[in-house]
Amino acid sequence: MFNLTRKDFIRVLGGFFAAIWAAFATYPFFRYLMSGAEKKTGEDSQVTSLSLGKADDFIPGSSKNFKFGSIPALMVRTEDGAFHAYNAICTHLGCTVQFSSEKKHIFCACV
Amino acid sequence: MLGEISETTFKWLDERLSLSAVASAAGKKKVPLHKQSFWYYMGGIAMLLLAVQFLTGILLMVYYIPELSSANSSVLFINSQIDFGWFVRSMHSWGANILIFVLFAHMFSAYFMKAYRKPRELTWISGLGLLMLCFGFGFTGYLLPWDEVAFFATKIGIDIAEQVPLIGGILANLLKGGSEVGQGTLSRFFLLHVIVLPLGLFAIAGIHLLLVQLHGMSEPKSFQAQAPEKKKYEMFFPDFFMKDLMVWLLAFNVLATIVILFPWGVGPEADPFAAAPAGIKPEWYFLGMFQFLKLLPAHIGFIEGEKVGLLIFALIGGIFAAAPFIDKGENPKLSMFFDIYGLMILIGLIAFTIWGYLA
Ligand code: HEM
Repeated sequence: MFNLTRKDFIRVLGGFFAAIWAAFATYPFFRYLMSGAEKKTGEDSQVTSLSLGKADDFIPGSSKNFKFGSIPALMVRTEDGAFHAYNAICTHLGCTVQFSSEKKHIFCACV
Repeated sequence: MLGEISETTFKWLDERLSLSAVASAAGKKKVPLHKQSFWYYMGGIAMLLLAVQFLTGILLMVYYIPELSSANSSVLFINSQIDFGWFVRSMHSWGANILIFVLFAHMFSAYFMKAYRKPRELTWISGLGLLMLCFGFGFTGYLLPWDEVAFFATKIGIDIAEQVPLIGGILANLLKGGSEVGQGTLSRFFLLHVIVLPLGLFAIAGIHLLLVQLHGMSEPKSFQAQAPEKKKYEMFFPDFFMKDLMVWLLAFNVLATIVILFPWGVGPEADPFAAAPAGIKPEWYFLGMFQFLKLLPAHIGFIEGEKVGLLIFALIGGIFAAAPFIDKGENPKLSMFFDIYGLMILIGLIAFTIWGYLA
């Protein structure tokens, strides 16, 4: 039913070993390129809190974009005087959002 | 089904690229079989190693930073933080050294087999151009990790360049790019290493390989002298090519094994204001010449010793390069002279290199 000649057998076997060799040879280079994104820089993991200045410097209705480790962040002081801090990465396309003091809402300029 | 698809694809490409013309030309190429056939593989090994240099070089550029305060630490980062960074870096460093070694073998084998004779004079000259470019790669690449040894070796190299008659001062300034070896030098060496030299290499290697295809493999005198029925050949395609592939596989695996057993380290960061540490030496392929220059007295007559040394190199190298134009194969005495001349250069090179190591 399935007639495998000796020649075909050697070919398939040869191709099989070539594929294994190629996988072994390319894997290091693949990992090399991947690990750039995977490596945490020391900065990211260390920052757990930081100071943006005196509370009085921020009037209600104002905001500030700032750097939190390697993450862009946004602090908003609402009219009621409360402080709110957010990760400023937009969930839509990954841009950095900002606060509009006129419209009193957070928006992203990348639409 | 599969055969049909590949047949149609081939036909489509063939109508546009004349593939079958190329294939039939390659199909006619024959490689002479004799005792020295082994050396025909050297050029191919150089090609493979060159490909490895390009691949690993591009990968290194992904993380390397050609800036004074980051260069050394970025190499350290590659070596210690990035997965297989040590592997890629060591492939590049070891590969460079092995490539130059293979080029020496390729050059001397072509020389002693008199492969440079008509019609291959330009193959010979373009080959020498490739060797010079590879020396350039070695010299510029050595500085990039910005470690102690590299820094001082580069200073010495530029100092020697300054001794080149007439244009030395200009050459040294162009290389340095600043009053001292510093950021200017690093930027220039980086550009030379990753853009300028590769472009030159592509161009000249293209010519070299085209000429090799045009002429086919040279046949040594002893082979030519044989009776026609005794001369043995093999087809380049597929026989020699198949062996070429095997040799490439072997060369790649040998390189990978060396790399794994002896990964390349990073020296301490260069401090331009610290005293030179003991044992500053150029790379091994410059060591013989370096040792020779060291032996010369500071002044020979009116002229500085190093200048005289460089003139001697130019003379020796010039005659070596001119071999195809003098030794045309008609005069057995000239042929003999160039055999001995080449042998003396080879022995001198080896002796001075070993001497440089022991000194
Ligand atoms: C990156 C450097 C080089 C590459 C990639 C390269 C590549 C090649 C290849 C593939 C061949 C045909 C196969 C062979 O004979 O080995 C060849 C032949 C040749 N090469 Fe090179 N080569 C390089 C450097 C040199 C150097 C430095 C010289 C000498 C100065 C040289 C001189 C020759 C000659 C004379 C031939 C003809 C050999 C014959 O026909 O028997 N090449 N080269």
